[in-house]
This record gives sequence, C-alpha cells and structure tokens, in this order.
Amino acid sequence: MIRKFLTPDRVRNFLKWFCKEQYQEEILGDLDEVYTSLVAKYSIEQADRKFLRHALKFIRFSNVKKLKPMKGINHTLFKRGIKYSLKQYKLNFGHSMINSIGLAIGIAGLITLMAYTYQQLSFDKQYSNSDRIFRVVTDTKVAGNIVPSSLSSARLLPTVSKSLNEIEHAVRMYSFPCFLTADKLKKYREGSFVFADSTLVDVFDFEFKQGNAKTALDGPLKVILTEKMAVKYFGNKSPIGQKITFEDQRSAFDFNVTGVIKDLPENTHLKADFFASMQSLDQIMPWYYNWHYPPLYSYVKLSSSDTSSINSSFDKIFQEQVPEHYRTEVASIKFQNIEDINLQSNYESDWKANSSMVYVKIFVIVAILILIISVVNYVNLVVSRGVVRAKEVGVRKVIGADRKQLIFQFMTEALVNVFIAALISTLLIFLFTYLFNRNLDISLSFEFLSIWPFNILLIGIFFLLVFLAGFYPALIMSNYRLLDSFKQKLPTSGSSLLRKGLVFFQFVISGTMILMTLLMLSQSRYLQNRNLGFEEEHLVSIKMMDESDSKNYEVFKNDLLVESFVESAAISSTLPGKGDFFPFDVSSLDNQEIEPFSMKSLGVDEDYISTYDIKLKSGRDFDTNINTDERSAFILNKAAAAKFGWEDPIGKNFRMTVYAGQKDDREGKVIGMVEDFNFESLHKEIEPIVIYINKHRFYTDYLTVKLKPGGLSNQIARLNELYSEFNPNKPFEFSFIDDELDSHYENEIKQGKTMTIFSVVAIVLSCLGILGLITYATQKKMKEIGIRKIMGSGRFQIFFLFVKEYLTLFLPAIVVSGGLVYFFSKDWLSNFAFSIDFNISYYLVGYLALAVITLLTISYHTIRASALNPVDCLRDE
Amino acid sequence: MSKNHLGEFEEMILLTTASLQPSAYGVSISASLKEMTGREADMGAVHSVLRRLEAKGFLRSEMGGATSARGGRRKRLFEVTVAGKKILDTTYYLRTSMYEKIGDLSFR
Repeated sequence: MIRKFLTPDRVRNFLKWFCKEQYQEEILGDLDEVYTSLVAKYSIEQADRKFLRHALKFIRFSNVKKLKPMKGINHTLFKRGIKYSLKQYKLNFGHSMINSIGLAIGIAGLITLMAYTYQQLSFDKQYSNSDRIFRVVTDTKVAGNIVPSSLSSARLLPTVSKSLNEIEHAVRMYSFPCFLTADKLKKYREGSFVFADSTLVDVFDFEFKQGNAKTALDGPLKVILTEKMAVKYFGNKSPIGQKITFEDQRSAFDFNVTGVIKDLPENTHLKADFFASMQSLDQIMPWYYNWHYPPLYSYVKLSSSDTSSINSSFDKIFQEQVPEHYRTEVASIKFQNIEDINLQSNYESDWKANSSMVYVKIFVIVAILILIISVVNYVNLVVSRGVVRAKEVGVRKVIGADRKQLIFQFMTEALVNVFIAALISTLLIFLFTYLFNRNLDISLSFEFLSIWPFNILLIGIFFLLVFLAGFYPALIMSNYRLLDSFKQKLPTSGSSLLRKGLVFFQFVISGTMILMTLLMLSQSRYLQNRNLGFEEEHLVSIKMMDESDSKNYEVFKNDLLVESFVESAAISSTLPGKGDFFPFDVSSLDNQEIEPFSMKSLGVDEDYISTYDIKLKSGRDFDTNINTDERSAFILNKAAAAKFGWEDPIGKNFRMTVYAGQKDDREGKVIGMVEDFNFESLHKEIEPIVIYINKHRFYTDYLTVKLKPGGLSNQIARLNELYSEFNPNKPFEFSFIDDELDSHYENEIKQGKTMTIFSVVAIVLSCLGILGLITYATQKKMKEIGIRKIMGSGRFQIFFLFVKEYLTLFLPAIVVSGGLVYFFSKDWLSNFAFSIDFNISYYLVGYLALAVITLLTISYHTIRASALNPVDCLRDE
Repeated sequence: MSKNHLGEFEEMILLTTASLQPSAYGVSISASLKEMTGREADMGAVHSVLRRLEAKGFLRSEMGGATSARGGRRKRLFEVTVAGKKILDTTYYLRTSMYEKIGDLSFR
C-alpha cells in the first residue's frame, strides 16, 4: 500500500521540496538516468521499487534545504525564542525543573500504561486466525453448585469432532507436572510439561526452529520443547533425536525430542515449555481416556469466528453421542474464544491467573487522569510565574511586541518545556517499567511505539501538550495591560473561576485515588490476614514425591516427630488453596429421602485437625485408639451439616463412596463437626466438605509439619536433610501454607501495589499543583495581607485566610469523590465472597491524609506570607 | 581528521573519478565502481562523498551534458584537481613503500 502511494512522481516532488536547490538538478537527473536504465531491464514494479530505494538514500542531512522563513512565523524570531526560553529555564531552574518533572511524570505514566494496556489487549492474537480458535469450557455440576471450568472431558472432542463440520481442527492438552532429566544426573521438576494431540500445530501455529511441525507429535513418546528448555537440557548440542527421561510418581519413560519451538511469548494464556505427544499417555496413564478424570484442555479451530452455528449443531450431537452419565454431570458446554481468555474469563483451573478488563479500564482512566493533572499543573505554575514575569511582558510591549508575538514567545517556551519534559520522561519510563515489571511480574515491551498508529498518536500527544500547556498562559499573560504589568497589578476576575475549578478537579482526583488505593490495599491485606478457621502460620508442607514416599510416609513422619522443633505432623490428600478436594458421593443412611449427592472431601490422618488447629464445634476429633475411626468415622464442616439439614450431625449414619484404585463404600457415623474453614479461595463462599481418614497411597500426597516458632531457615534445612535420608532419589519440595493461600490473591495484591504507585504519583502531582497555586495566591494577596496586618490581624488569622480558600474547594471535592468511590467500591468488592466493610472510617482516614498533605504543601508560602512586614509590600503605593 | 586525510571510500571515488575523466558524474562513477570492485554503492552515498571531496579541494565540478534519459537535466561533471592528483600520488607511494617492506611471508 505504501509502495502504491510512493510513485516515482511523488518521490521526485518530495526530493524537490526536500533538497537544496543547487543540488536538485544533478540528483534528479542522476535518478532519472538510473530509472531509465532500470525500466529497460526490469518490470515497471521492480523498477519503481529499486528507484525508491535509490531515492530514499538521498534523504540525508547534508541535502536538506535551509529552513525558509515560514509564512507568519519569523525564522530568526523563532530561533531567538528558543534561545530565550532556554535562558528563562536556566534562570528559574528549580521552578522550571518542578514544572518539567510534573509534566514528565504525566507523559511517562501515560506511555507506561499504554504499554501495559497494549500488552493486555494483545493476548493470544499472535496465532494466525486466532479469532477462530476456541476453547471448550464446561460448566460442571459439583455438589449442587455450578462450577465454570476451563477443562473438559478427555473423550469429548474425539467423540464429537468428526460429526461437526464446523470444526476444522481439534486438539486436547493435558498439563502434567513431572521430573525431567537428559543426562540422568541433573533432574528438574517441570510444571509446564503438556501432553497434546498431533493436531496441536494445526490449531496453534508455533514457530518451529528445528524439526518438522507436521510429524513432530505423531506417535508415542515424542516431545517438542522451547528454545529456552533446549538450552537448559542440551546446552549447545542440537536436541533433535536426543532422549529426555520423564518421571512421575510411578514410572519413567524415555522421550524422543522431535522439535524445537520458539519460547511462548508473555502475552499468551498458555503456559508450556514442553509438548509431548498425546499417544504417550496410553503408556503412562492408560486409563486417562474416560469421561470423568482427568479433565483436560480442549481447543478447536472453527471454520468461522461465529459460534452460533456450532452451538446449535453441537447440542444435537452432544445429546446423540455422549453417554448419559456424563451428560448429567454437565450443566453446559461453551466455546470460548482464546482472545477473550485473558481479560474476560473467570473459569477455574486456568493455565495462569488471568487479568481482567476492569483493571485495564481502571489503568487507562488513571493514566489519562494523571496526564490531565500534570497538564493542569503546568498551566497553573506558568500562570503563577506570570506575576514575576509581568514586568518582562511590559517591557516587551514597550519595545513594540504585539500580542501575537507575545503568544508566540510563550508557545515557544511551552515547546521547549514539553520537549525537556519528554526527555525526562524517557528516564521515568525506565523507572515505571521497572516498578511495573517487578510488581506485576510481567515484562513490558515498548515495541508498539514503533507501530504505525502509535507513533503518530505519540507525536500528536506531544503537540497537543504543547498547545494545552502553552496556549492558556500565553493568552492570559499577553493580555496584561501595560501599566498594570509594571505595577504588578494583575487581572483577577475571569480566570479565577477556572483556576478554582482546576483545584477542585485535582482534589477530586487525588481524593479518589487515595481512597481507591486504600480500598485495594485493605482488601488484599484482609485476604492475606483473614482468620481462615485454621492456623496457617508455622505450617510447612512437604510433598511426597513418589509412590514409595506415599506408601511409607509414616516412617518419615516418625523421623520428623523426633525432632524438637516439630510440634506435630499430618498427612493429607491435598492442601488448603490447592484445589483437588475430590468430590465423592455421600448420603444419609437415616433419611433415605435425601438423594445421594457429591461433596468435596479431604482424606487425612488422625493428627490433621490438631495440626491445622481447626476448631471443633461439637463431637470429637479422630482418635488413633479407636480402631473404627479409620474406616467409619466422618467429620463434617458446618456448611456440610447444613446441607443435610442437620442441626447436630453427631452420631448420624453416613455413607460415602471413595475411589482408591477401586470403588470403596464406607459406612459409619459422623463423629464431629468443625467450624467452617477456608480451604479454597476467599473469592468463594465456603463449601461443604467431609473430612475422613484415608491412608491409601493415592491420597497421602502432602505431609504438613507444624513447626515451633524460631530459626525457620535452620528448621527447613533440617527437614531437607531428613527428607534426603528418607528418599535420596527425589528433590525436597516444600511450601508454606500461607504462601499457597496467598497465590490465590496474587492478582489483588499486584493490582493493589500498582494502584499505590499511581496514587503516589497522583498525590505528588496534586501537591505540585497546589504549590503552584499557593505561590500565585500569596503573591496576589501581598497588599491585602499588608493592610490586614496594619489593621491588626494576627499571623494565625492570615494563615486561616488562605486555608479557608482551600477548604471551600476541598469540602465539595470530597463529596464528589466520596460518591465515586462509594459506587466503585461496592462494585469491586462484590467480586469477593469475603470482603472488608468499606465504611466511613476509611473515607475519614483517606481525606484526612489528603487534608494534611495539602496543609503541609501550602504552609511554607502561607507562613512566610503571614510573617510579612507590611512595609515591604505597601511602600510602592 | 585533517584536511589531507582520505578515507577508503573517498579514495575509491577519487580514483574512479580520475579514471572516468572527463565524463565522471554520479551515475557513471557508481556504475564503474560496481564494475571494478563489485560493491554496490548507492547514489546518495556517492553524491555526498563527491561533494565532500569537492569541499576538500580534491575535485572541481561544472554542469553540462544534458541527455534525454535525464529528463533534459544537466550532469554535474567532476574533474580531479592538482591537489587531488597529489593526494592520490601520496597515498599510492605510501602504500607501495609500506608494501615493499613486507618480507617473504609464508602462510601455513
């Protein structure tokens, strides 16, 4: 398209405009001669292209025409204007620097947030035809609730995809954490090892660096890996054809490396370093191919980006071809476009924690607000400087400057200032990017700035800033009347309303930002510190790495209990915050009317409840001395008892069907009821759960150790030592329970931190603005202060005179911002099942802080003004 | 850089100009350069070097020799000045005398 636009004629005209006259003839002549010979040799298009390449090389500095005085703008005047502006800048270096930094913060904030937004919006658009790639997501019925899950059954796609014409390609992916080794010496745990069908490359066009994309995943025990992993495992050797050994809890397999792909970018929802062929699963987990467990990710590439046709045909095929036992588990199955996953998805068990459109919107608004505040500040500061520069304006007028020239001068100064600010902002962008990357755990790139609409936008913003920052002060200051400007008597009316409006506006913005930060921080702190119903401190869990660990965990547990720093230890099937609370069918044997339903479960040993310090509400804990506890005792939480309608569940006859290799019906009594405790994220209400004894090796995955306080690093080191004695073949893997839980609130914590950065920025900017205004106000009121002092008013009264002026703006401003925050907080907090009560005290604290900051900012100038000697300001009347 | 210094590319252009005299101008110089050295010099670069050499006093130029292929525009024809010839000689002697100092090198 650009080529079509740049015809040889246009290029010639451009060069005529661009090059010095004395060179034009030879340059154009030579070019034409070359073109004539090109046309003889090549086709017209090729000749045009080569001509363009030659012509572009003439765009060099030495060929540029000297600037001719443009119409209406005097060239020398412009040059002098710049010189003069720089002189002014140096003259009031402190003031000018504050001014530039303020503006620079605004620009840097805008660009950083543009980068963030661009990255967030670009998620998963890098795959070709990404608008036609969909993920199959399932709303599953679990314990009476509908759980939206990003996973679907392993059998679903193979069953239905042949009958659906809309599906061009389909691929299933199953993420399987495992151990890998290439040389049998160094063994790594890999969390992003993924089994995928050979059709993977038809759906997602990963870039292959080595190997054949078509056949790479065709056949069992084949694996492709990313470049990063190729280096990690094979160094500089070519990995193709090499063996990599895969180990899970039970078995080990050698995989053949058949391909190397480019590392997956940051802006994709997938998280994978290895893709192994799905056929390998037939050997590793032959039972995987069923309708229920494990569910996995399914993706399809459809023939069109519109899902209405597939939705209707899918329903029919689903009813016809899918067995009933699976259909009854599923509430609905949907097709989710991959481009929507990052910002609009809230499905469980996604690859990574997703972001949300709400945050992107908030950040965009914040960026624009910060830019506005900084421009407003700039204008205010320049106008407040006007008092000092009034004389200069007067002298200029006496010498003969007309209004146009004065405006021109101030605009030139704005240009210089904005330019300096832009330079400073490049430094600030580095700082902001660093803070952003560290807090949000991403890596922003600024590639987008070189992409077409953005560089134009940026240049546009630059000139808009020059205009905004220069025009209003220029207008005001060029309007001073000659005599007034010498007497430093400044026009007061008109602009004061606007200025007051600006201060009001700043109060609203900074008040809102402070409160929003307060809201986000308190909520994320609340999520981290909330009483969960168990004691999460001092709990360390050790993962049982292989089958022998799981079988013999009691040996290890006894080893640990000998240590003096270990208070207690307990085995469990999963950890709070981890998920995997397998739902099993439960029923009441007393009341046959209640249909059996599935309830989440937690398999533990007898020490679990005491180790976690979960409060028993009634009944008793499991007891090692009571033999029947091992198979026929159950403890429910309050929510579970309520689900059965039991006021007091103790002694009720209870049945549960457990799977441990095979079906295992357990009947017995409920022996205790515990308080509701948060075993999952606080985003959700606490669900019913049944706790029971299960020491089968499938369920003894984590050993939780309660440590005595003190010397944590030594304690962990000792645990490590003990573990390597117990199982020398596997690495020691542990986690702190509170970290595990915090990972659920990662997003909230991150957003809270980011918001803090920006509200600090906004507050700094507001302070700069208020500082500028108070300078202006005190200078304007010098004489008034003098007269008041003569009439006998004291320092405090004068101080209060200024404070009053801000108070009249401050009070209405906090009413407005309070309203905004009220609606925002209600909306935002509704995302959480457990949230803080964002009451009036938060507002008080926030606005009090703002008031104090404002007072401190204005106090320097007002105190100085109130200590003024009346003679100084009144003598020239 | 002193006024008498000649860069490698400048030297090439100067030599080519001398060899093409009296019809040395942008297109012919760059074509002959490509023919003799095989290197693809774009017109823009050739022009700016020519101009630089003229500023250093090694070349002088005049306009003339319009053709229809050039849309009737004249060429800027270049000629080596005495100073230009002198610096070419100096460089040549410098190179040769240095080259002669090389002993019998044998390479493995």
